[in-house]
Amino acid sequence: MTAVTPDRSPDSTESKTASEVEASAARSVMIGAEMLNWSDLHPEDGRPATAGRVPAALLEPVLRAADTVLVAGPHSLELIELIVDQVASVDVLARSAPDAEEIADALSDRPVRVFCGALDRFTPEHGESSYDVIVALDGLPRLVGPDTPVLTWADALEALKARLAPTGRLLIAAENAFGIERLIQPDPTVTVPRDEAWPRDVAGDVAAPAGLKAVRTALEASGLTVDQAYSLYPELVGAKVAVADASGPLVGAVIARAVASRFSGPTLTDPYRTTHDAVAAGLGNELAPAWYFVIGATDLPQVLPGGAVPDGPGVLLEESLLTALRIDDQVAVRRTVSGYVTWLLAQDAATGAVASADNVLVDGTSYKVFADGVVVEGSGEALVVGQLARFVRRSLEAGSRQPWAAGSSAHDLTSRLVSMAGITVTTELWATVADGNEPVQPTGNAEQLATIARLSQELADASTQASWFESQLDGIRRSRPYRIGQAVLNPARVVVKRVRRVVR
Amino acid sequence: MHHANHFYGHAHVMAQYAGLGDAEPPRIWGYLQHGWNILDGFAYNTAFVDGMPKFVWSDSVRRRGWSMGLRNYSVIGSPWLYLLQVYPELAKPAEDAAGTIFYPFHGWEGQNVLGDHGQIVASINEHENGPITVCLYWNEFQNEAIRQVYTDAGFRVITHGYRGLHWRKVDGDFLLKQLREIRRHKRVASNRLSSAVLYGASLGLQPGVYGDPMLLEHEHPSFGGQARIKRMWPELNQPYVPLDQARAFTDTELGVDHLVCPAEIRDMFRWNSSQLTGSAKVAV
Repeated sequence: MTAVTPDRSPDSTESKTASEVEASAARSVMIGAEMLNWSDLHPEDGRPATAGRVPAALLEPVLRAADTVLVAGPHSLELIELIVDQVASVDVLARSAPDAEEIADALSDRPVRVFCGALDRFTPEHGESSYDVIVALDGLPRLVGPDTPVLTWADALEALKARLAPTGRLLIAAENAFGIERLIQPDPTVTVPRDEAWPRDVAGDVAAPAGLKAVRTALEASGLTVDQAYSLYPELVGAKVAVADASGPLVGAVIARAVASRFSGPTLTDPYRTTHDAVAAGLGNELAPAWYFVIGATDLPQVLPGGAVPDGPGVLLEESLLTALRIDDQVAVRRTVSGYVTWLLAQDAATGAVASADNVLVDGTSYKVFADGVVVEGSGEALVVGQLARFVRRSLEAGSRQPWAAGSSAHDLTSRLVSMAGITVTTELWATVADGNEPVQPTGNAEQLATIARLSQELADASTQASWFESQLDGIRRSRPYRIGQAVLNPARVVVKRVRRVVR
Repeated sequence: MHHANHFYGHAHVMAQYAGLGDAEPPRIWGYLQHGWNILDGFAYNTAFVDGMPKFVWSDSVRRRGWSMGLRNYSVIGSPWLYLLQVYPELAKPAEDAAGTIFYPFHGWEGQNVLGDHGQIVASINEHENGPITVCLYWNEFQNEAIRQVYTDAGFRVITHGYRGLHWRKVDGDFLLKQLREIRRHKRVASNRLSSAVLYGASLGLQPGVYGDPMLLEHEHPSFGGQARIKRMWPELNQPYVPLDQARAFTDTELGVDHLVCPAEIRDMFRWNSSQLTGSAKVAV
């Protein structure tokens, strides 16, 4: 429930009751269609405001000291402060009354005005008639509340544009109606609408046009020229990375990691693999969960935040290995593993610990660590076993094709890969693998189906083998040599026993 | 697993390579290809047990076999190549190498070869001018009449031994004897493209294939027979095969790029000490 009720923490800023908001010496300006019982900064049944290093990294090169800025829609207090620090004056438009008060409170000694209400009520009599910069990095839908029955995305855009100086800069976000998450997770909130999904009018619900192409077309139709666009992952409000072009193996790996860390629950497909492969197939921009569009500013970074995508030629070792597994190229697996292990054994402890196959770039015969990684304990042969066990676990979780019968544990496959580097996995070595004996859980429904199919086949094979071995035993027992041996040896044993008894 | 794994002492060679010493080799967990093969790597109608690994020489047989419904292949290269690793000092022709070693196409206990050995002699005389060694397989070597045909022609007649059957009478040094014999010659030839020609060519001997290919009793048509071999590798079915072509062919068919290290052999064959129940244990 989003309603801010009087009986709930009456003394906290974010939970002020409607009457308290009205009664207090409001520092924000109410312009109409405010949401009194609502907070985007502290949502109880909705999404938080846009925040983090990604929007911050975009704002920095765009803002100038003399700018007058309008921040339209839910942006975190930290982001607003960051803007205020860099420019001459800031107006904030917030639909939530408690949020408006909180912002006004926090920035009371700064050149900041806070307007509380809906975008369609934000007329030139409020704030500046035109702004050097308009920041709408939360998108347009949260610029209005239930008191705005109809507003199209294009009209909302037009309203913002009307307040932009002729040479002004506009930063606007749009969410993708068909983002990568559609392929990964059945979102329960889609079927159980939340408070923020109050009934709307088909004539205009402020949702962005569906798809990158449609959004670009709508922007251009309104007379705006997009100077730079970014694809955001894994989501709009909690973006971890934004890239001007979501393509290439390293970008793919970074994006896949971001998505995998976002979708940790039950999934339809393995988030890492699905995302990685979508980017590899050239769909990284089209399937981004959201985009930023920059109008009026150029020479911007290609990656937000800077350094989010490591440089360097090569591809992740894991990709080389999975590619080889996918088509059962055992020579390539062998070559790749032995080259990697030789390199791994020559690394210092800190490097080796994070040099997992999913965190090492390989370019021909040169290797380097890609980014921060999960620490795998051990040194020498134990490290090799640990790192390859991690790869095997990930490949099984991803439902990858395996050239050898794998069963349900990572042990046998790890032994095989490790043996390619001349190392035998002993019981003692295997005991050093932290999660060595934990069962492998395929990540998504698709991987579970693939695993069931594989295990069914292996189980049928094992059953056939058991029958065959039994038939071999049966054949031996029925054979003449066996029966003659029994016939001779059994009486002989009895004789020996009796003789011993007598001798004693 | 399958007695053919031990033919020609292949299992012995692999055990030596894998560090198990010279003792009787343990059984191999799976099926080991025992001769050059133009189909799936194994004799026609081999009764495979589902899910058991198949260890083959080359990728080509793995691809064909998979397309025909077989699974669980691992390409490891030919035991011959492992023999060369175990005896690196023998892996090239001897300094006093001379003449030609000729392998008339052989049958086995279950299938005889039908053909005229006299014609083979005539072909050899037509194409060779140095001293000739003719190597017969065990059953043909025991046939006095066949031996006579070649000795009468002035050829030296030998056999490398008995390849074994059902784990009995396996000559563990069969392949080593073959290696020692081959490297005493400069040329290797046969009336059919066969394992022995590949072995010789892999050491750098000049290979040749000529003469009546003869017939194998009840040869199964699924292999495509000599006609398919000639269509696939016409360049190899001539009296003097160019060395570079021969080398490319033998590298592929013997699986030079697929050789694996001893630790992987032990893992594949289930020859690590914890997996072995027999006498042989790995010294690691």
